[in-house]
Amino acid sequence: MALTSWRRTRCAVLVGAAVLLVPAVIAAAGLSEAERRGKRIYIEGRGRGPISAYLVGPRLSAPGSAFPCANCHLGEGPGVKEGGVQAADIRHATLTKAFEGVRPSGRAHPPYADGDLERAVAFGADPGGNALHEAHPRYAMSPDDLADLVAYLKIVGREPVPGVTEREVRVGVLLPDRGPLAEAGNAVTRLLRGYFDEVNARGGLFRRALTLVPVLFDPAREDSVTAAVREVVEEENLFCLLANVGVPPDHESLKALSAAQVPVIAPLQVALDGGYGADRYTFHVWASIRDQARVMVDFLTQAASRAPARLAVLHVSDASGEAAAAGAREQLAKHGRSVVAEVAFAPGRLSAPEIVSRLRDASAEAVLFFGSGTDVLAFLDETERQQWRPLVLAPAPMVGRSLLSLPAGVARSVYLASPIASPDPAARETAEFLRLAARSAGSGDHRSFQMLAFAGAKLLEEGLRRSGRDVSRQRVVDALGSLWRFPTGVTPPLTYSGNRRVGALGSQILAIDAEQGRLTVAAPWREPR
Amino acid sequence: MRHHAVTRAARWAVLTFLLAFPAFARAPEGRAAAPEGATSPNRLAREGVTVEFSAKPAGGDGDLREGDYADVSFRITDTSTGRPVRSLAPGAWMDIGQPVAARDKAPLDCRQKMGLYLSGRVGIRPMIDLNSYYVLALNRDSSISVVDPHVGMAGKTYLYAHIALPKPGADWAKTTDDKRLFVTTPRGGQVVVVDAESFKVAGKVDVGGLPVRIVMQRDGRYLWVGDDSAEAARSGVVVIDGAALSVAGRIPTGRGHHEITLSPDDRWAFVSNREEGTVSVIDVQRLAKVKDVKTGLQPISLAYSRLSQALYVADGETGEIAVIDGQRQEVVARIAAKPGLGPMRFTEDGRWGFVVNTRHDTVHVLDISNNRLAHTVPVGKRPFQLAVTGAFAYVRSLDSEKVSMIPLSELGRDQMPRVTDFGAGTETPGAAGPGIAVAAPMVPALGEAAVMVGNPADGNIYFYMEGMVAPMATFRSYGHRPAALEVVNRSLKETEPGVYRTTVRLPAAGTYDVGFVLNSPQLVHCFAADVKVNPALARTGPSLEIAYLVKDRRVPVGQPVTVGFKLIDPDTQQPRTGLGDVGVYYVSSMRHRAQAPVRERGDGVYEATISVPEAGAYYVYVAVPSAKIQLGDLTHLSLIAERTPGATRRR
Repeated sequence: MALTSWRRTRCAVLVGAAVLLVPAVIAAAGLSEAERRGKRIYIEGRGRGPISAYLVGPRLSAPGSAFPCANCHLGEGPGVKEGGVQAADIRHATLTKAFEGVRPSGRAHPPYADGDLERAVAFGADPGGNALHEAHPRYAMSPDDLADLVAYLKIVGREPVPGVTEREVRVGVLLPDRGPLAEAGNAVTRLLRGYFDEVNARGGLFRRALTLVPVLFDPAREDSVTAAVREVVEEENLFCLLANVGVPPDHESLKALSAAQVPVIAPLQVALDGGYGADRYTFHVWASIRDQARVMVDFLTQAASRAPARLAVLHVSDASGEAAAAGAREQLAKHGRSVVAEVAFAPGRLSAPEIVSRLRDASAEAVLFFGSGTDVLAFLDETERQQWRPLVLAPAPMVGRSLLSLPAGVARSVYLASPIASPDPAARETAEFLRLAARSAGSGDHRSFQMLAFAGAKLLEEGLRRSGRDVSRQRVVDALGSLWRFPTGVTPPLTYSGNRRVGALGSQILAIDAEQGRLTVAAPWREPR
Repeated sequence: MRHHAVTRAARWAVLTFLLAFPAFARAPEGRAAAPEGATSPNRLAREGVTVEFSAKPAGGDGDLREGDYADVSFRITDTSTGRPVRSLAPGAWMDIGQPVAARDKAPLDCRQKMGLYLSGRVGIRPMIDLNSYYVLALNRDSSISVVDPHVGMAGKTYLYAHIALPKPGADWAKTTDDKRLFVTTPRGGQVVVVDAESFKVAGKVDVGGLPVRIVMQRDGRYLWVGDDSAEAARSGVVVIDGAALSVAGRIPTGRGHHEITLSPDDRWAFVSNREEGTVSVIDVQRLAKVKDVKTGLQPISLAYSRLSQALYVADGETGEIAVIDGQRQEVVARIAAKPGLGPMRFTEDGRWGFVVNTRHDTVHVLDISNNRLAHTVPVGKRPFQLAVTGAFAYVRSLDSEKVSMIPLSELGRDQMPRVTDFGAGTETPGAAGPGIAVAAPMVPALGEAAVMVGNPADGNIYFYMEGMVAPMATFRSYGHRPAALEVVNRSLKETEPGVYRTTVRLPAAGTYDVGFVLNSPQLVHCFAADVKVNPALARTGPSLEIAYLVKDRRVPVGQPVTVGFKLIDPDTQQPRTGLGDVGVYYVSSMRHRAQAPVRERGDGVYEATISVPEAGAYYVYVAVPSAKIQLGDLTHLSLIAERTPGATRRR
């Protein structure tokens, strides 16, 4: 009940979110107001007043936002080498260093003192009166903006990191405090605590312990998730979120997390999309709905025992349904196939008699169905009534377990796609998981939730190991974003890249064994072609 | 490094294809007929970019002369706007197109040669590769040998230069731009400054005492020299100003040998005092010691991990590795290993550490993320040195001729990493006896997944490419014994926007083809450079090369056999004719030795008729006294003498 009403409101909220401009909030823990504003100038080239950059070589004026400091000096200030020009290391300790002779910047000058940074930014001169390299723009901005920028330049590369202290890294997990997923949330929390305890017992990571901080929300109230997220973003005492439970994949508050550059690792939800344009700060483990749809198409065109020639796509017109339909279209195009019909229906408004007649008239032999379990049951009922039995494929994460009770005759023509692969029984990590899961078992079976949380903990640990003592959110995101075939034992090896935020792209196809009331593997886990 | 090698390989693959493409397979354009768009022989405008080639004597003007160093540059601009084109990765080669001795012959085709170089076939290399590097060997005598490994891989060791030092060197450091090298000479109490472009001694700094370890700051500000003097009041560090090359300070730190390392931001210097059991922390800004940290009994090696922002100090006596927090500068953890620890090295990213244990014939692997011992790996007897590439940690042992390799990809798992090895010579490094060098005898090669290993016992340098079972090449050092190796990068570097430059030594006089390739836009072109004869040139290597013209190395006993060979000028690759005193000697393993008269056949070909009296192996040597080629200077020829059926057996 709660879930259906939630979906309706969410739909309305989504429309609103599309026109809402999410403000670019920059996480700046413990910064003064001036430093905060200065950071925006440094990163984005935008201040309270207009900022312009004058390029000495080509004699051009451009808006400051086209040439922000961070483009060349980088987020932490060490400078990048590009085109034979080494952008200077502008960390304050370097600039204020006493130095006889020529510095690595190629110039000799006294250390920077009060007023020197302002002169360098505005007039392009170092404390020795030498002109900066001509590749360095000269900036015009109001005295207030300049003061803000200089305030930030004095701490660039040394600013405090949210949730990271001398001895601890604080990791949040968003959990429902009631409802059907509350117990799963508890199981996940127990597993993660056990995992963190073991990491800490081995000495922690770079002299810091991992601390798990549950952040609870009420799943029945739409604004409860929003409030929980706001707390994470504004209080800035959590480094990242791990294995969130029960947050809908298209919840608008997730945009605020992304805008604040909070890493979200292995959320217990299926992504809509994990490729180009996906949220940079969220790392999914299992294939997105879109990629599941692609494997379904591959199965129909290659692996199905009777490969049907005439395909139809039927999808709910929400974000999941649209993403799935887009994946199906993309993969059909790859196979050089087209559909005989594509029908969309509003959430909860499937008019089964009409749609079944329409698809039947189009002589569809197989239907790719992207809707809820209730929708697919209604659809199958109607096909039986009209004595028409096409092959039906649907993603398991969308339809849930509702199809297990189908009559045997109908069940034989239904297949489900599941992104979950069986754990590797030989892997050391799998043994580690089984040990932790046994210790943290509670009521009910939440093994698959715990598996995903375990994979997320492995990812976080690796990201932190690669980031070192000087950890930052950006470093962890960069480290995870370059993982290649990272083993977790309980999932296929995970790979991420600049345009890929889903670790394991594939799915398996399941058949329904109605007599036994269970699912059997019809086609093993594989990535889309 | 590895990434660089991969991209370079990919680039070459594309260009090889490009050269094979019909559009490029047209007849060679003579240099007289200027290619389209070029307005002068040193300028090319095509595909929207303009490339201007220049080759000038290093640090001067005038003619290029053989044996001298030349500044070679390519300025690349956008043809329509004139703006520099940045961040390209051009490839370039120089090869003799027309040797001075063969001006009347038809010119060789530059494009065809470039196709061969790009195909990357073993043994085919241009005379000068502008994308190359040199290997420097710090010898046990007072010298440094400079080897061009790529010419060496073609089968002939090319000793590129030889630098005489006033006294034997112990350690060295180079500037970040690879232009200068600083060598400590403990017996001379000096730091010798070597110009790494001309490979000549450029100066000396008298530091006195017993200078051993030397480290250069990343920012180039100071050179840090450990003074191992026995007097306690003196033992410490000498700080040399990197620009003025004068002593900027002397800081006594305590007794014993000093290892030195700096924090990545060059703010703190850490100096170990082996006989005090301490590490001194020095504020680089003030050149003053701020504290001594007690680390154990005998600090033997230091390494700083950028990843964990901590200093690691291995102790030979206690067998512990003390971890000093980089900011708080106090011991925050101790990792227990076993007594007998020696040198320590970290991976490039600071994620893993390796410490040899000389007493237990093992290498301890440190997990830097939680300061625990991840593995203890058995290696060859008495390990004493380490080198780390992107894929392996290499371990050299005093009592083993093998180099052990620990794969980085297998670290941190339950199983012991699988150690493999390769032989670097037939003698163990321990056979060379003790020497004074403390610098590394193994060094990763540049831009390749490979390592160079010096063997002071047999005097060779071995080049090992990852994935092979044995070294790919061996470089002789002509009677010197390499104690340590260093690599100097000489590839084209973008030194200002759109200008790609390097310095090379011109090995011979003649007209050079300068092959130039660009991947994007795709461009292949040949420029030319004239190099004049240098009358003042003194030759360093053998003045002849030999190629034997013998098809079957099995010869019949007691019958005359003709051995033909061709003598070639190594610089011009042209035949040497008219040599009147060529001698051929043949020696058997049974110590039979004979000489045979030599006839000249023209075009550099000579021959001698020999007759061997006994079955067995014979070695043929060629000497040419007038060309200063003595017996054994040129490659020998081995022959197997067999009895023909029916021949009478003498008793």
